Amino acid sequence: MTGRRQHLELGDEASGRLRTVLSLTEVSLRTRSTFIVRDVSLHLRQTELIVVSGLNGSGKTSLLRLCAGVRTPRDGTRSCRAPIGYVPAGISPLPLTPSRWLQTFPRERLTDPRLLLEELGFQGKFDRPMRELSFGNRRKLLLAELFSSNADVLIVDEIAAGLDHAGISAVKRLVKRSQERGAAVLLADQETGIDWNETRSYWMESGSLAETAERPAIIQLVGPVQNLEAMRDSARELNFRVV
Amino acid sequence: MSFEIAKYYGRILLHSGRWGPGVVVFVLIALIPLGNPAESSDIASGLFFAFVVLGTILGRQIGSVDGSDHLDMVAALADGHRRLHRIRSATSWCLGALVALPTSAFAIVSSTTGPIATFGLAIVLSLTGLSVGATGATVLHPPVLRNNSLAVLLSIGYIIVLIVLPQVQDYLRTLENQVTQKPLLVLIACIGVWVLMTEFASRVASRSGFVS
Repeated sequence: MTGRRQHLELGDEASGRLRTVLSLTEVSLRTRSTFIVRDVSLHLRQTELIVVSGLNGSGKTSLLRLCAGVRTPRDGTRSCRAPIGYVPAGISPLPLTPSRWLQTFPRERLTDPRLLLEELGFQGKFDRPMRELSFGNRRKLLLAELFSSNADVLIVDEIAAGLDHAGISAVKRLVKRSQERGAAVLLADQETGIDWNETRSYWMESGSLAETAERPAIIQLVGPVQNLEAMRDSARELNFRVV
Repeated sequence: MSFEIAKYYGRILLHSGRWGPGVVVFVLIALIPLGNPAESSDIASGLFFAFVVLGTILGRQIGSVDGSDHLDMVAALADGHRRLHRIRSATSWCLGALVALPTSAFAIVSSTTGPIATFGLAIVLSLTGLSVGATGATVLHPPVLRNNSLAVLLSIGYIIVLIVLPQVQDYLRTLENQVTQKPLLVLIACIGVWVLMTEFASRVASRSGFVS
């Protein structure tokens, strides 16, 4: 469907022969003086869920744009064997209603995006211009479009941005369903502490990518706490991050 | 997929209302020769300029009708910015060409002499004008314009075009009733230049890493 790429049959998971659908090999991206992404290798296979975390400006978005094929690497190679769906962190509103946009966006659908919007807790109006939607509802619209599509590689930047708790729970279910149908999913997430049940997770810093064996959990202390410092120390000993 | 993306951009442009100013300017320019009954070759040369304007405005508007985030979304679908840029440039040319046929027919029917003989010439000159406009517009897309040296070159190019325009107009008037050969060769050359410029601009767009 997308360009010259063919949809892939799901590999034999039991024998571990899932196909690699997206590969970056020693990819770099830089301006004249600074590396934005430095020597990154990343291989995404069918049914996998990879989460890339990192601070603002660490290069997550640039990495995802490289994966989506919307930026060309300065060095290294990228190969992709499946149709890609990419959702950026935000979108400036188009001169269309949500209803018309979902009808006209040129992608084949596996399910009705309106059902997914309902599941995501979309509160906007379908027949009003997109500019009247809140940021969160606009994000839900983009996510419903993506997860209802037949793309085999789903790439989402700032996955939790603008979503409420119900929305995040729904996204988790949608990610799971996409994996079950054989799609590979790549997410970028801030330090939200949300457990996405990912296959692998990476930490990005200054353009470099490091695999994290276990994602550090984040504890958020809410309300009056007795002996706060002692709790902080205990949490740090257990390798938790306290916010 | 290319056709579906082209259709999609056509719809966004239609609903954006951005075609409005372009159409008004086009109609005004086209009305000048139509409002003053004259030789059909004069009308044809008048249409040339109307289509230069239409090609430029259509190409520019299609190139900037959406923000960079949405552009990235569609680029992922189109297999990169390079291919998406080609599709958008072709979309603007095809939309202009759809307007060329009825406009040329109407213009020639309104002329005082030679309606049938110069109909071909009017179409050829309209498409030539459209190609010239589309050539300019293909480098006016935001991802391409981000390249500063290209923007300087463009400015110089437009100044040269403005200086040369009166001579071009005189030349077009001398083409009276040369329905074949010379004008057709000019059209082919202009389409060739448009294709080359689109290819060049698509390479710049894919390298620019445009972020709003």
